[in-house]
Amino acid sequence: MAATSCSSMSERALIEAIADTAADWRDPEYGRRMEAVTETLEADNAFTEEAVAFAVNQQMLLLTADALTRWIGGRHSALGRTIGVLNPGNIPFVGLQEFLAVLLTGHRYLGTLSSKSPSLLPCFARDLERRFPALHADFADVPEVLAAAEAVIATGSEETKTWVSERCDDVRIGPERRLLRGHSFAVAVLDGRETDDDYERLAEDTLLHEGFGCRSVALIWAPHGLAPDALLDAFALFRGVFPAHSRTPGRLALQQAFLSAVERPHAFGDGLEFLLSRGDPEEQPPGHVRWTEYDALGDVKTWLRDHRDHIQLVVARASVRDELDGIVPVEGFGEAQRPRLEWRPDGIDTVEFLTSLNRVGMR
Amino acid sequence: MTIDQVAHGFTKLSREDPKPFGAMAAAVLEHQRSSNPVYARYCNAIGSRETPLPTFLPVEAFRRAAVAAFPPEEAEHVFESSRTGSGTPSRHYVRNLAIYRDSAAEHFRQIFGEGPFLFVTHLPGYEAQGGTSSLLYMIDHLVDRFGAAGSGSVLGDAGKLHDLAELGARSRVPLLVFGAAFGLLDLVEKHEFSLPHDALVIETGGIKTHRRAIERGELHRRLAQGFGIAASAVRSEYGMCELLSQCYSREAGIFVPPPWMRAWVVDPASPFEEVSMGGTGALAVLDLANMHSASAVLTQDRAVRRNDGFEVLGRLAGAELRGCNFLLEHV
Repeated sequence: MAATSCSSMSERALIEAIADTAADWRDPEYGRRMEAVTETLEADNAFTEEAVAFAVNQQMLLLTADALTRWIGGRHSALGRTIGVLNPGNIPFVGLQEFLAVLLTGHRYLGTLSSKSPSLLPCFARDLERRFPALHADFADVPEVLAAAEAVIATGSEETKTWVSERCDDVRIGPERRLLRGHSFAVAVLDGRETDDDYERLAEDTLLHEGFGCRSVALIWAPHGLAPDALLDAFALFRGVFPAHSRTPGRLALQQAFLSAVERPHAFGDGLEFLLSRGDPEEQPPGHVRWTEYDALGDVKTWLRDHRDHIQLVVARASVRDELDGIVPVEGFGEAQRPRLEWRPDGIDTVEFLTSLNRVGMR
Repeated sequence: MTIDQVAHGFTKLSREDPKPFGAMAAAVLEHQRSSNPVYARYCNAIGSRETPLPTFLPVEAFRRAAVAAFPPEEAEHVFESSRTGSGTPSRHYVRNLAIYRDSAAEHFRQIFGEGPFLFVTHLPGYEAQGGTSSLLYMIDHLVDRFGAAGSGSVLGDAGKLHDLAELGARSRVPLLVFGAAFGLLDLVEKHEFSLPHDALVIETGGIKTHRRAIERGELHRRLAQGFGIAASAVRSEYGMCELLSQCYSREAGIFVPPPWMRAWVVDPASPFEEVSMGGTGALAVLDLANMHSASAVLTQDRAVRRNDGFEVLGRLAGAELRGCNFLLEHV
């Protein structure tokens, strides 16, 4: 794709082009979207047709010219750099926020492609390029990305971060030019006054992407004595609309067998479409949700403080959110799978990182 | 075949003749399916699968339940994992410590010979565990069986290590330094050593230190440099309290199991078939020495199969399981 610097005029044009492209992509019958979705569903992943449609619709609805302008807020890098983005590809369309942030702040995007989600982001990029031919976005494998990048954005475990840091050292990309995000997950905190509607939204927060992704709820804190029946009903209802991926029961079968073996209380849906176990506040494999009881909300606060590095966000009712605000990012039920453009993964503003590159030396 | 026959015969197995291993494995797994309630419930819940592999019990079970094919209160000893991770340690109820001693000693003999060796141990952190540490128990037994006079722990005392190195050189007894990876690294970063040319250093893991993660190859390079020995003289030991057999690395960090143990690399989400040669997955083992607990165990170690052995790459972290670790796919 062709290279160009991004002046404020071209930034305006780019915003319009993104908004126009997104408007097309909101239509499920739009050819390029259909093509990308079909390729995505054929890839080796655990994405369901419903979850892919949800992810595309949700992200495209965000991309209006006004919202993009507000998000970027005139922040722009005077010196366009090549930003290497190592995309995890664990949920559909992951990496779109970084893609847009890089381009709108005047940098050049060079991202990796995941075999799990190989089509949505590149197809969107190609479609965008039709409207904005000066777009500077490309995709390559990890070594090529690291060889060409002047700054890096990556997500992964501590081990991954160490590996990326070492490779960055090799190619002299200093720490100030790395945005390395760690492993995290979402938590729900109940107070026993949740409505059926709250539980239905929590089901979406928990089950939509089969438990994958850092914004999926993996752990639910509940007041001592609260029965999970209403939540289980909501899970079953959700699965009626968003069926589990065909691989999910197989993955959960091992988990369920383990819970049976060690005689840990648990519940699961018909055909193992979801699995919930009672026990200590420990993250389980995707799709297996842990239900942990608390006596006092203060205990939950303490736990959240101790684990804040691994908590992407907490979903809860408004009154509980007020109690937890300032400890961890808090959002309402039903918002975990609907991140806003302004969302700051790990509390770090991607746009701010990208504009800060003006102030640091480059290789 | 009875379990007693397995107990008396497993260390006599040879890699060249796999048939007796198969017969012993079948007897052990059948015994555990009928006498180990945890393994029985797991197998029943999994159901029958068309796979040549045994049903591997997740190693986490040792942390959550008494995994024993006998009444746990009759255990001769209970080993515990160190408490560096989450609060509850793994517990291994050992019916007969002689099996552990036989397994540890025979494999050591097969790899390193009859000795004697001047053992030098440096296991900070483990000492506090005392009798619950399977590693300390094993090393104590190896010292009893293969150790020369003067063998002992140095626990960070560089002067003592220098003295033992001189003693080894004078008495022409090979020095064998057994230590936790991070402890040995600390030692060579603070002190200079020049061990005898025939010295061996065996690190027992702990690659991910409290300060940083370090690749095994880099660790061995630094240890070889720090101790003044050839890189080939630095070996690794792979063991855990849940297994009564150990593996030692041959070259380049490749572990080879003893003849009474088999290892596979499987998909942790579906451990019913092996990943292809060179593929990454979870390490699964069948350890006959675990005949009184659970022999087929799915570990939480990320590994890659290398011919007749395996290489351990690290721990399977939540990030891998949740799918947000691009390294699994790209590197």
